[in-house]
Amino acid sequence: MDIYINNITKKFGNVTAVDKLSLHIKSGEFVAFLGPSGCGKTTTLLMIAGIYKPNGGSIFFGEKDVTYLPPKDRNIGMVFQSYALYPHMNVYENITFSMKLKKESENVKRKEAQKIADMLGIGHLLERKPGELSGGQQQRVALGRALIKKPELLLFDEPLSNLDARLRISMRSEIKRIQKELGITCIYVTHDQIEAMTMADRVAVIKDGQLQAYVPPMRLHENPSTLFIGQFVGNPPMNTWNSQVKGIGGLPHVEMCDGTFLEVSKNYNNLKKGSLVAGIRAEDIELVDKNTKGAASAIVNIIEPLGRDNLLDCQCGNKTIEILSDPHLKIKAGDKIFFSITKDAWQFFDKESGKSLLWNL
Amino acid sequence: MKRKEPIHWGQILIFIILLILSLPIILGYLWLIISTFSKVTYGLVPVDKSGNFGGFTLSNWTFLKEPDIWWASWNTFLLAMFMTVGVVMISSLAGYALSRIKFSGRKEFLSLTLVLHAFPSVTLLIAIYFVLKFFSGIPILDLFMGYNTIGGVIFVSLAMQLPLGVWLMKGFFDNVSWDVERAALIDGCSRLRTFWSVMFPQVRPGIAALSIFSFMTGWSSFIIPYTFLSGGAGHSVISTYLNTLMQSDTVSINYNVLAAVGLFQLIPILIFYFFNQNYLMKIFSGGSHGGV
Repeated sequence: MDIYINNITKKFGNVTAVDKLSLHIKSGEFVAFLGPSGCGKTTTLLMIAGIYKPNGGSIFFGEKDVTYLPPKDRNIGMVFQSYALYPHMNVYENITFSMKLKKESENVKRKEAQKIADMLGIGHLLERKPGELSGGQQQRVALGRALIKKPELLLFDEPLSNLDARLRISMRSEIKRIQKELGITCIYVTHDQIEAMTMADRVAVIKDGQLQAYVPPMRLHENPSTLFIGQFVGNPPMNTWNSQVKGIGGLPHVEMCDGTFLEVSKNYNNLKKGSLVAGIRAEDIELVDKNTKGAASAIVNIIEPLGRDNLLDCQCGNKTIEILSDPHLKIKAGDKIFFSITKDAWQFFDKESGKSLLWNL
Repeated sequence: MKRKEPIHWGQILIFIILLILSLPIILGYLWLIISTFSKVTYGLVPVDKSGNFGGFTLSNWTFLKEPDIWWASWNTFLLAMFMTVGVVMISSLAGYALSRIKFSGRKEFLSLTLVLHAFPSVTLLIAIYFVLKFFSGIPILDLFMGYNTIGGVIFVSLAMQLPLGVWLMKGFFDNVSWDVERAALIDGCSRLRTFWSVMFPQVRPGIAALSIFSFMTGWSSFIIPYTFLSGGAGHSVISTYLNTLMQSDTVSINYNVLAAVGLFQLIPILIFYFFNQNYLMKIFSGGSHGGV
């Protein structure tokens, strides 16, 4: 079932939480709503669910206008960040509550509940109350409750935020697997860009109630269309600073934070002259020997061991930049290090608008 | 092998202090029970005609043979029962609406209930009289709710109890997460069904607290029944019955009979507490556990 969101707006008093948002979600697609806290992604989700009514615009499920339809008539399932299980009912009653409201027979309820519960690995917990379950188990019950209705649309509101890190990773792949298996259209709200990157077919980046980009995850990472996206997506965050591109000896050079100029790829020859914002990801910076030609330098402030790499927080001019290094190299705080940067991995953004100067999207 | 912890000096001291502070109450109840079974007491000690220990009797309890007390009990029971059920139902519905639904005048309404709660029932007696007289004027209603009926007393007592009830229930509903309600709406509940199947069960501690307050208020209620029931068979409650025992100008007041009636009034409450004390303790130590 395709979802059409047309110019929806939501105001709370004088505050505009969602501002003329438009999206088209294809049937069976897994779409992530990504953005910082308070950007309007949960509000949008609740409008799609029917809990909030939009102040303007419309929402269509296929051909049906559902803009003002109550939630129970939309054939959707929703998983909340807080799980929102009914505390006074046991797991079986929680999962089959929607069937009870439709007055299904006890046999059908039992069969379906056991099937779903076994698929989610909670088949042995049907008699327990939510208070007697761990966080991960509660999350699965919430998922079962949403899935048993065989909905045409599954909504997730940051469902993994309350789980511990290990569990988050395993639940992530499990949700993705179930979605692929059942082919249900999914909307997944999160502020965690890793979740969005690993799970979504397309990511809708929302900031201040407005849609910033709506592209597949890799495009978001490789071709960020705004400075905000560039800094928000990717771990560790992109290094950015005010800079300029100057032609020296016929080749474009980028000004580093300490004033030195670094040669970059010929592709950037056509960039406008004048001040802009330069961006480079830590993974495109490589430590080199100090005698290497054309290397830049910086002083190490802090070393953060990540296990696989070390994250070096370095001072370059008046800015700090993040660089990844091999943990076996003997680098200490205060050392001067030398690095070179992949010539065509740069990102450039307009200083005023934040829009990318490379990718027009 | 477990070694028993030596008892602290501090613990003994605290225990003694608590005992001394509770003494008046304990002695009071002790006197109550003793005097119901004796003709005369000197202080706490029951004595017979010649001043020796003894004089036990059941004559104080003869009031049980007459129908008056049973009529009064029935009325008191109706009063307490209907008050409790009515207050709980109305307060939870109102509390839910005030907690969840945004409507104009909501803040003003809340402040109004707080102000209403501040009014002692005594100040409103005259006004209540006019209300009940009004009901008496309406043909069928006057049998149930008019002046000098227990229905009228129930109606008015219920209304006096509502401000507290509404505030209490609103507070409890405020503590229920919005997400659970949204989940119910998505699962297919109508607003009313959401209230009944999902929200109401979650405020059980609030309902329990309110039920207990309301029942006890109703059971021991005096001013309203005294003013608006004429007394006599069918038009009294236990507290007004007790009052008539103290009114007599001809016979000197028999405190032992008073004590007996008082104890009689106390017994249902004691039984109620006895059977519910586990549940009550659970409420005061923190409501339902688990869930989110």
